[in-house]
Amino acid sequence: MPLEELYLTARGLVGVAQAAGVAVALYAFSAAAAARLKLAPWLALATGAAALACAGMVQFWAMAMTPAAGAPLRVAILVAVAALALDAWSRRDAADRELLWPCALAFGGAVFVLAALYVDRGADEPGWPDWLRMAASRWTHPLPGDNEIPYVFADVIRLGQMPTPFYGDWLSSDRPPLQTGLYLLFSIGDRHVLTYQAIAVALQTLVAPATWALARAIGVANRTALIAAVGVLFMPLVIQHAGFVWPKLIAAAFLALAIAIHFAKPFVAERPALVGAVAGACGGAAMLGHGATAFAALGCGVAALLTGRLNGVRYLAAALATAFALYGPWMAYQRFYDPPGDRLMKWHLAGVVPIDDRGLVETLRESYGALTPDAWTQGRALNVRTLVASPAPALEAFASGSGSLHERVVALRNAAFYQVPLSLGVFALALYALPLFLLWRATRPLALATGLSLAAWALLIFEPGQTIPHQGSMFPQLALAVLAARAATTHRWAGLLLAALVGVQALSGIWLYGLS
Amino acid sequence: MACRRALILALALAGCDGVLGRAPTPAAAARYDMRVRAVVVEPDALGAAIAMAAPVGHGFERSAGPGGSVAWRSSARGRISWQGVAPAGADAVAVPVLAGPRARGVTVTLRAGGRVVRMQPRGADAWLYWRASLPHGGPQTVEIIAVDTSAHRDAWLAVATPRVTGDTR
Repeated sequence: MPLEELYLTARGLVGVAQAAGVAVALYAFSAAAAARLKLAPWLALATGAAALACAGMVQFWAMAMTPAAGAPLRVAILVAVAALALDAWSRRDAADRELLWPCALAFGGAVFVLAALYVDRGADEPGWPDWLRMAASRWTHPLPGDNEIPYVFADVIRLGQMPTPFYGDWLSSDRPPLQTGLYLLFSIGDRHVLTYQAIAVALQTLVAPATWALARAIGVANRTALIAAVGVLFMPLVIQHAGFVWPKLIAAAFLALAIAIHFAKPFVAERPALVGAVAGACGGAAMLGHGATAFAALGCGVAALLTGRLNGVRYLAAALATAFALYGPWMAYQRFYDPPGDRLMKWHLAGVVPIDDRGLVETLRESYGALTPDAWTQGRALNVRTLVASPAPALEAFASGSGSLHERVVALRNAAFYQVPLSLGVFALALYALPLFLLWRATRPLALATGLSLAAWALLIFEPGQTIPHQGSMFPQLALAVLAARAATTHRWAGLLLAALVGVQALSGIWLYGLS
Repeated sequence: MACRRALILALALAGCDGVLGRAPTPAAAARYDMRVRAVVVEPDALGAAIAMAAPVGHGFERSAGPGGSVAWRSSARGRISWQGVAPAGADAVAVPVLAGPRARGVTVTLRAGGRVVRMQPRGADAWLYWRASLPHGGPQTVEIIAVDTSAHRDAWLAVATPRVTGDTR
């Protein structure tokens, strides 16, 4: 093997080892929460994830204040993680064993995505592959450089210098910092982009343990919840957006954990302040992951009101206080340090893509002022039609045999990038069955939260026809998989059907994204 | 605006030497360069040159830098340490760097006011002004350490007389 290839292989292995750190930390924090706070494993996992997010944000703010604080803080946190992991390993009680699988799935998913992206793919430039550009063009048409933004943000924080705009015409305040903070926490050694890519992929695959926790919270058996989590890992949506690491899946994972607590069946009534604080931290972390979380958070909030799921004053106060404690400093950063930080809101809510000096309220007033009620209604109708568009035409085009196999595979992946039902894979069935889940008492609260999240998105995204996966929160897609898992618990045959469908999803995911 | 300035000043006075202790640098003065993974200064924003003593080390030869300034260039393996004093008021130093297409084995390190920052330059067809912020306060000793550990013909490195940015009157 030439020296250059050997070096790149070693680099890749170092990256994978650092990606493992994410899963180990989640496991360590979760097992500690289960053992010390006596929490159910799914709630312990949410608590562990909240602790992980808090650690990432502490790392971010500490380094934004003093870059030199980064190394000692990182060492202290990672030593604590190692100690907690060893403690859990030596204890290995039932909760520790139950928590091991969802955390291992996150790591396994990351290894699959990294392998699908890079193994045997060669390099753009001999000796110096541009790993992030490769990830941006591996499966679809070349995507923009959004996957680089958290890396560059981390780098300027580390360098102690903040050009504004700091990436193209983007301000540092335009994109929330959770992925940046967690990357700063887990990156040991130099600033190689492959290390960033590996850690960022591992952060996106946290959707697997989050799906598991959400499923367990609404009464799905452990094995079925794990099967649903595997199915999620092989969703076209997840493979695509775990490889192209704009931080959308990490936000969906944290929101799923917050929703797991809020809509748990039965609700965890003991220690409401603690449970509320964990829910609030997960919700705050979701907002710090990606701003599009707001669409789903709004829908879930309305669902909570409609179902009377407010969970008591102490719970609510703790949740709001924790969410604000986590998200408030970022709001201050946007407002005071690198203002205005409202570019994405103007883009999504007012359809204004070019940068201008108008404030959000003024932009909204002018955009909506120029819109007739009829045009607004037609736009919303188009959003709904886009959201539920049949995947049949894309599948028929794939099966038609016109064009080379490679061309058809790329066309199918492109279609999955732009269409919610296709991006769900087999879980598209759950999208079309959503009205049935609303009728079923066991799934009604989560189905309502999912449906209203999608409705809020279709109503509020300004530009007609933009209910495409990467323009919204990816939480509803995870929730649909969980609803399918809940349905699979009704009968042995339903469980077998879910397992078979997930098997199909896994094989088609491996072939479409890994081998093609 | 006043609130923003007060907040940044308060953080700076509290000893915050990271991004929060300084106002963001406008794009006209500096930008992040993904190729070298460093912040670089736009040539129009450069200030005065820093008077540098003769470098100590081996393997680097004297050559011409941008604008006729002094530069030191490696052709094979080498290491030099080059020192000077940045005047009071300078908020950053800009080190002109030029490197061959092969990055491995070449590094430039800057020490100033107890801070150490490192850059791994990569091939560029023009001088790049690597920006490193200086601690607040009076004159600062700056030391540039240029290292080339590779004998590969494409791995070479040149550094030229650094300049300051900011108000140094």
